[in-house]
Amino acid sequence: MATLHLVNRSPSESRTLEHCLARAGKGDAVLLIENAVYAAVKGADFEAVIESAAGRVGFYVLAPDLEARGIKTSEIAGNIGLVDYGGFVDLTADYQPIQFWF
Amino acid sequence: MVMTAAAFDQAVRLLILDDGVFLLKRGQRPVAPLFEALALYDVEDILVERESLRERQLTAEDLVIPVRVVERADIAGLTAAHDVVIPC
Repeated sequence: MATLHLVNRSPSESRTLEHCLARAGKGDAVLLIENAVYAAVKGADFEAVIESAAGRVGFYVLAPDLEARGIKTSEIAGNIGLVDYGGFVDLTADYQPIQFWF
Repeated sequence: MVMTAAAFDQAVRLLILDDGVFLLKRGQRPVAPLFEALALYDVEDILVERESLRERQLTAEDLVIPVRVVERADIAGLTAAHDVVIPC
């Protein structure tokens, strides 16, 4: 099975997302949570980081963490899937192992 | 964390990435005995990413314990081969 990567740091505060993407394999999934949701904003500085890996890994963002930061779903790049807490649980069931990066 | 898992008879492999490689650099005072103790817990497969070393001007010879050097491109496959991944 493919790996689910969890990233919780904003790409402007830490290089965690880049470190994760450097090692993520084809078919893996990356779920952006907490301040990492800032990486998902369409047109933001880090869009290129996401795009560079978008063909290889699937990106998801945790909707409640977007909402908590006042980011509307319309502001999210199109190649990123939105998940709620239930969707988070589904991802943890669909992927194995799960790797947290911080 | 590594030693705790190993003490409960789990097969443990340690993968060191990014600035983690600095922890293994020779010449630091408190760190070497800790890593040398891994062998006592039967944690003998210690992997270090070649690119992480190279980006920090280090080689395996600069490290306090013998390690297995692996390529960045092989990390995804290595990770997928394990049941549980614990970040430290």
